Amino acid sequence: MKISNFIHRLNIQRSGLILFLLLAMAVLPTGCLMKYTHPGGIMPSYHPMEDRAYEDAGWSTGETSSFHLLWAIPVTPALSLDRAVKEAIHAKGGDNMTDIRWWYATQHWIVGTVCVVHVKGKVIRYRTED
Amino acid sequence: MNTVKKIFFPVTVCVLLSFTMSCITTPVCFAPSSTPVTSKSVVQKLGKTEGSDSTWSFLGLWMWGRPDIEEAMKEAIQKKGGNALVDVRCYRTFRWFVLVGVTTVNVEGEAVRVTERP
Repeated sequence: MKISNFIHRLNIQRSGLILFLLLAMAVLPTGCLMKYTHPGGIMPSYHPMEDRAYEDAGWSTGETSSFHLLWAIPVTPALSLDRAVKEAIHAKGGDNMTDIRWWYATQHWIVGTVCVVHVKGKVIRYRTED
Repeated sequence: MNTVKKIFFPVTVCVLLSFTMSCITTPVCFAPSSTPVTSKSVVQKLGKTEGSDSTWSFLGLWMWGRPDIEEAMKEAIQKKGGNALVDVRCYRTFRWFVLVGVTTVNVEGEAVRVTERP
C-alpha cells in the first residue's frame, strides 16, 4: 500500500516537472516572460487648433520606449507621450497632430522590462498667409 | 454518504471554477471629441453609440494582437453612419476564465457628422 502511494506521488511530481520543463522550453528560446498591450486613449489634437487654414499631411506614427534592467533599474529616459507625438509630427514636417490615438506595450524579458508607447494621428500643416 | 458525495463533488468543482473567473472594468480615457471641432465646423448629431474591440491572452501573460481603440471607434461611428464621435468615453474590461483572458476596449459616445463651413 505504501509503495503504491509512493509511486503515485512520484508520478504526480514527474508530471509537474514535465509541465514546468515544457513551459520553460516555450519561454526560454524567446526570453519573453510576459507581453501585454494596454489601450491608451484618444485626443482631438495635440496643440489647440489655430483659426487658420491648414493642409492635411497624412497619417503618421511615432513611438518612444524605455528599458528597465532586471525589471527595476531604469537605464533609458522614462516613457514620454510628448516625444512620441513630436516624432510623428516631425516625420511629416507638420505643425500639429489631430485625431490622436495612443497605446502602450509592456514586455517583460529575462534581462529586463521594455515599455513602448505608440502614437498614431493625422498631421496637419498650417498654410502661411500671403 | 453517496448522495453527499454526489452533491458535494460538483458543488466543490463549481466553487473552485468560480475562483478562476473574474471580470474587471477600468476607465481608460475621456475626450470631448475624436477629431477637432472648431468654430468653422458644422456638427450634426446622430445619437448615442458604442463599439468594442477584443483580444485574448494565455495565462494572462502573453497577449495576441491588441485591443484597438481605433477599431472600436470605427465600429461605433459606422453604426450611425457618422464620421466622428463627441463626448467620448473608453473603458477596458478584462475577463478571465481558467487559463485564458480576454481584454476588451469599449468606446461610448455620440456619433456626429462634422463638415467644414465653406
